[in-house]
Amino acid sequence: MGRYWQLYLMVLPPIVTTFIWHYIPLYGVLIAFKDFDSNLGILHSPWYGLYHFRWFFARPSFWAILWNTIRISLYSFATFPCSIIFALMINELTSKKFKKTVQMISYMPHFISTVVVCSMVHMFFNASTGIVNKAIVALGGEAIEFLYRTDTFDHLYIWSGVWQGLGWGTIIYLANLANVSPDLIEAARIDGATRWDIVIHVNIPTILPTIVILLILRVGGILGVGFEKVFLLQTQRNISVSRVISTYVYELTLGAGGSTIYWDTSSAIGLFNSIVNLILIIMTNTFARRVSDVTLW
Amino acid sequence: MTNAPALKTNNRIKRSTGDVIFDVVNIALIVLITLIMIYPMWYVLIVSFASPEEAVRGQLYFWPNSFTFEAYQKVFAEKKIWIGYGNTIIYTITHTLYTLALTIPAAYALSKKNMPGRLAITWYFFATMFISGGLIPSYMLNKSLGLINTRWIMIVGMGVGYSNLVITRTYYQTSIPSEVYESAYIDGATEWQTFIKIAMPLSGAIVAVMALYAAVGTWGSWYTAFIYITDQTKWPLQLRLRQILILDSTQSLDLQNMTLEDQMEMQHQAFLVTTMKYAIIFIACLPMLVLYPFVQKHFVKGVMIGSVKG
Repeated sequence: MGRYWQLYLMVLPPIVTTFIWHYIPLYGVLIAFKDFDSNLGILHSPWYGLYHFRWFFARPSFWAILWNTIRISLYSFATFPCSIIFALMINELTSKKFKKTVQMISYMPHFISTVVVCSMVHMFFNASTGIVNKAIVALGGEAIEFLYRTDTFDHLYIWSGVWQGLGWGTIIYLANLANVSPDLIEAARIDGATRWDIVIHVNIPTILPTIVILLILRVGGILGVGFEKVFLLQTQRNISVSRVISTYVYELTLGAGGSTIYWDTSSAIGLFNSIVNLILIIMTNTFARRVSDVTLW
Repeated sequence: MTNAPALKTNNRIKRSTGDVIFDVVNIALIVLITLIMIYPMWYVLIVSFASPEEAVRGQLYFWPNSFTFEAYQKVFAEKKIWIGYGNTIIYTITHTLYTLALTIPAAYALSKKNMPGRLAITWYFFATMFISGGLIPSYMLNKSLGLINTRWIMIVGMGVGYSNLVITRTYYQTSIPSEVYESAYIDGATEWQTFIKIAMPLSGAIVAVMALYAAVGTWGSWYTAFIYITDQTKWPLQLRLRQILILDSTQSLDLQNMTLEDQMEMQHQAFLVTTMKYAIIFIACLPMLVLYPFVQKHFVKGVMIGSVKG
């Protein structure tokens, strides 16, 4: 140790807090293999093997929930190129002032909280007072109850997300694009390359490593559809398409008003989710290592 | 990180017709996208100032024909919103300080490449990104710590994220040359002294970035309170917003001082609830919107530092 003890002291507090709030709950995962009784506690509740996993897999709702999770995830994954394209477009702007203005405006939605964004969705798409339906009616159409239908949830969820994240997602690509050598572009221009050629053959290859890294992270999170936004956009009538793993875990446990019956089951579901995520991210990372030299670790 | 030289070279080459079309299409699309970006925010603003009748019945899209502060006057009288506002300010300040105290010194320590065990410690934090105990084990932990339904749950916690740790560590590695430290060590300075006397005075930018990340996150958070706090006097603003705006529980607004004299008045009050909601959204976003022009560059800087592979 010697002269390093002060460094260890500096890194100790977050090691402790991470241990308490992250690693101790990992031990609680045991509950997934037990027949949990809140009077006995985790340690003394009897072992139950893989019963909870089998119970969950055997339920018809399991497949619906899994499908909802994967479907929403894949749809949102499909919008991954939006920020890339937008960054390439911004990069082509020659007026510095215009570029700054576009960036300023498009980053703004990132700073609006999830609750407010979802509130805006609820209010804008309201059947009677929302602007979207007012416009539809004014154009001779019929008002649509967007939040109470099963065929509109995905679109509301995904595109409000694109609205919020599009501009912010460009920052990292624009930073990369700023490093493209001007000489390279000039040389290409002299050789007769068009602007389009430069985007395809210079700019896109430049940001490719970053794209790969971000893709790996996205694939790893494919079953990790977050609780917050789905829950905030969920209504009694769209629940058949909006019930994902994370909201189901909540529904079974804390959403069930004090009942601890399903605590063990829900932990099994959560564990299943984590394991799949972990496998996916390791697989993608291995794949990325095979085909390129860009990896997470 | 500027592309000014690139602009200069571009101009030296004659623009072909193809280039002109490229520019026109590109600029037109960007203008369109930017308008889509800004419109929802603009719409919230105009509805909040429009008369309730115009907002609900009229065709209000770009510019209100009426103008009134009525919605804001009513919102200002809503105690529950201001209690939430006050709570959120308290949580934001305290939690941000907590996060900084945990992140900055640790990242400094991890920036020292010669510290034995550095890799293991980094992995210890890295692993948190991929494995977690989940809702119930975390709930049971916080319950046994006695944090349920207390303000502490909004302040303490892990307090350190892997990506923030890496961004800060990278900042120290790239922006402070190691020679600066070397001379201090030769003069007999301890690690703690070099951190306080050398690194900290040069840390303004990164502390600002981390503080803003934490502050924006806490300002917008509702999940922790949703899970752990049932006492409504401790609710942060966002949870109250959810109750009013999403659960549409307008009973939660104190409308008792409204007199329902006749049909028209009743209708007016019903419409007013709609414009009040838009006013509430605007008020909830105001601190961010005011600070945004000043802090934007710090956020961008954070992403930039994060993109340098440490």
